[in-house]
Amino acid sequence: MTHAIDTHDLTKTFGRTVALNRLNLTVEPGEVHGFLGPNGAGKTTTLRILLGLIRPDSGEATVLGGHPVRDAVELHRRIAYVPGDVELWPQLTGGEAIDVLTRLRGDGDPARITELCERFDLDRTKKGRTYSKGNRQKVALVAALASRADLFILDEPTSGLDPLMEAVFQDEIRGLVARGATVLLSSHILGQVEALAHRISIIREGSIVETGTLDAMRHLRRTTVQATLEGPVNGLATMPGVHHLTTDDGRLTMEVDGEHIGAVMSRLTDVGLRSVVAHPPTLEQMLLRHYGESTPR
Amino acid sequence: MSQTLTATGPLLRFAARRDRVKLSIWVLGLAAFVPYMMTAYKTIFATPEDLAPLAILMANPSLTLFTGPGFGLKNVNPTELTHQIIFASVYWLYLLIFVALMNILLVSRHTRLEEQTGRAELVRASVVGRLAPLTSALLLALGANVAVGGLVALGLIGFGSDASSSLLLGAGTTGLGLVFAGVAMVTSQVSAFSAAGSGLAGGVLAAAWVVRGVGDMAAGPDEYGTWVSWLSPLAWAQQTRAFHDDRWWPVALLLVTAALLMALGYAVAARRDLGAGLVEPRRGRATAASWLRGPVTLAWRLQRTQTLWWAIALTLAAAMYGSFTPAMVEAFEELPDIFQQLMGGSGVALEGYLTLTVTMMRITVAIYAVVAWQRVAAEEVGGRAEPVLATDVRPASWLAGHLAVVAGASVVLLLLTGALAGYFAAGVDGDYSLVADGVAASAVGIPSVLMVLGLAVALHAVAPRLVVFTWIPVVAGALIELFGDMLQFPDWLRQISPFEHTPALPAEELTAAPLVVQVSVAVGLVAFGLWRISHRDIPGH
Repeated sequence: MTHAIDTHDLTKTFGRTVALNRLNLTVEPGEVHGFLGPNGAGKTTTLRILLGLIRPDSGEATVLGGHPVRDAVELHRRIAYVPGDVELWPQLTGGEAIDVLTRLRGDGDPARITELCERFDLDRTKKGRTYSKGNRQKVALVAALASRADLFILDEPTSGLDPLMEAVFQDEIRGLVARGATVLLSSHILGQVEALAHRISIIREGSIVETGTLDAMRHLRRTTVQATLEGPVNGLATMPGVHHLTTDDGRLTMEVDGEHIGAVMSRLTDVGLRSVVAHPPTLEQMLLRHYGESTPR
Repeated sequence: MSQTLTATGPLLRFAARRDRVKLSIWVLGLAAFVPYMMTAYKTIFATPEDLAPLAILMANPSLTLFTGPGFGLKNVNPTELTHQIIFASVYWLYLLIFVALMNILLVSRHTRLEEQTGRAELVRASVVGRLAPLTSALLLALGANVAVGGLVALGLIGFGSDASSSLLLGAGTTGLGLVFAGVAMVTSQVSAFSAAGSGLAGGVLAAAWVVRGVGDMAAGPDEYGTWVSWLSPLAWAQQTRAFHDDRWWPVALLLVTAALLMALGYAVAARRDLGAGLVEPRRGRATAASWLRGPVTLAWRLQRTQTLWWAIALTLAAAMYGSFTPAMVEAFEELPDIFQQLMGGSGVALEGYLTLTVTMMRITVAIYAVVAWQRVAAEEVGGRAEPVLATDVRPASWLAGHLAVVAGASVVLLLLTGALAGYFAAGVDGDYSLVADGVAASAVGIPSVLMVLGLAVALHAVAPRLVVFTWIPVVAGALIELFGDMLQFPDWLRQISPFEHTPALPAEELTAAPLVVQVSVAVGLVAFGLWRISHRDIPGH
């Protein structure tokens, strides 16, 4: 199977700053791929390389089976892009900017544009310089979503939108997936990624540190278990996979490795469970582990 | 009231700190006007007798449009003419216009631009009085105007001028500057965007120029301006009659007007919300015109407004130069050699003047080309090229689209101004073949402008921020063409001007060789640019 996006050891430096350090990212056709990482980790640099706007110092990138720079024109016909900082032409209205961008790509159905403007509550008769950040983002989103592209590269597309618009956005992305499009979604909004992404890649300091489905990632993580038992339980602390066991007034709290959760739970059930709360690590917890040095375990 | 001005002092120091380079260049550049002009007069017009033909020329009604009422030039005994009289009655007006521009740009930069960018919000959220930012901007303008006026007066005194008259001319300069600081303060309240406010103030300046020009032109041979002139603040400065029979009260008129305008600006600013304008930004069309669908048409849409304004301004300039023609032809024989050389030295006044006009227009169109290309560079630097290049437009096509528009507009502007210059020259004795001469003269200038544009394209293709260096050959070329004869530049220096090699039609013969070279250079630079931009990164912002 050919990947929608496949990069191999992408490296890019700006002066002394290493923006990307042997980055390997794979996005499969038809999936929404969440692209997460702290500011300055190299997300935007990666997306700009995929668009052929900048060239890697070394490494290879393949987008829709083509070369990002050599096949730029062919590829861009099939790619829609929403930049992180949307800059509009001050003297053009939002509607004009949408039309220009969709016509340059060679598609853009006026009825669809009107529908999207209504859904996103965008007044497209205002001049570019009068728009707020959120409205500039809506212009870029409408221009991208109105296209019939196969691949959508979205760089924090909703960072300036309100929750209502966020819901519209998620709905539109599901529509894209339903018709078979691929979405590479760079985002800081974890709820959005949890709701939309089939797979996630986490980038840190220019390298992918983790990639996979959210479930698979969680599986490898410790689940937090709080339980109240009917009787005393012995040997729990020495069971494989159990960490940080504490007892407080008959109430147990511990962290259990994903692959041992079954054994631990049957042990607790044998003693008799009065109540139990178990929750997998949140995406936020997983990210914090990668982002910071002193992260909660 | 004191609360509304809290932190004015620190803000003033901050504003001066941020503006120290730009404002110093303005103030010193304007002050340098005096020693430059006085030295030039001493070189060209050694004795008062040499000044006599110039005085007669400048007292001509059609020329008063460009100079002023002409105190000390009319019905004057030639032995009484001085360089100071020429400076005050002919060239002071241009100093005043640039002082007004300095104030318009300074005030809009420090008031409305700060609000538009949101920086004023950061400042105002601190312990800062409501009117402190505006007041600090005005104090900075006051300081700059006093510095310009003082340096101008000192410069004149340094050239042995009467101290009282010198101070009066300096005070008139300061007063006029403050009036336009006030004008800009009011116009900056109107729109939420600084470009609109400074454009409006520029419109007021242009209107002031036209009104006093019309008023002065209508004056009889013994009159110094008419009541129409008095409607313009530019005339008030000139009506101080510095170096003729000094009078100080028009300075008071300037200062009172400036104070009233500033009071109006304060009143509006105190009542409106931060960041708001008095007029709502206009709505536009919901969809793009059907022709707007490719790199070339997008480039035209982005350059259209500015290009049309240039076309209007160049048409007016060509008409004004043209309206000079009869006076220049009449006075030609009397003029010093230096002016005859400027006009091609052919001894044929009409063709010489037409040649000079076309050369000026060619330089101006080259300036247009650079300004337009800086806009293209700003597209890339500002991140607006990125979404276009993310569609199926190649970097080279994007560059070529802009090149097609700017080159096309430059050619049209050249031919337009050439035809107009020829048309007005033809008005002298009805020889309308001069229209064709004007068009031909401007057409041979096309390669030199394309060469300048090619340099801009090549620099842009290396890095968009380098486009600014295109100004070096353009400014050097303009100085060489306009002052090379007067200041007797060496030949090798003149060779570097991009405008030097263009055959000076119609005064000179047509030769093909320089045109072939210029076209080759232009094509080479463009080819390099198109190749280079395809092989470099498009930097983020």
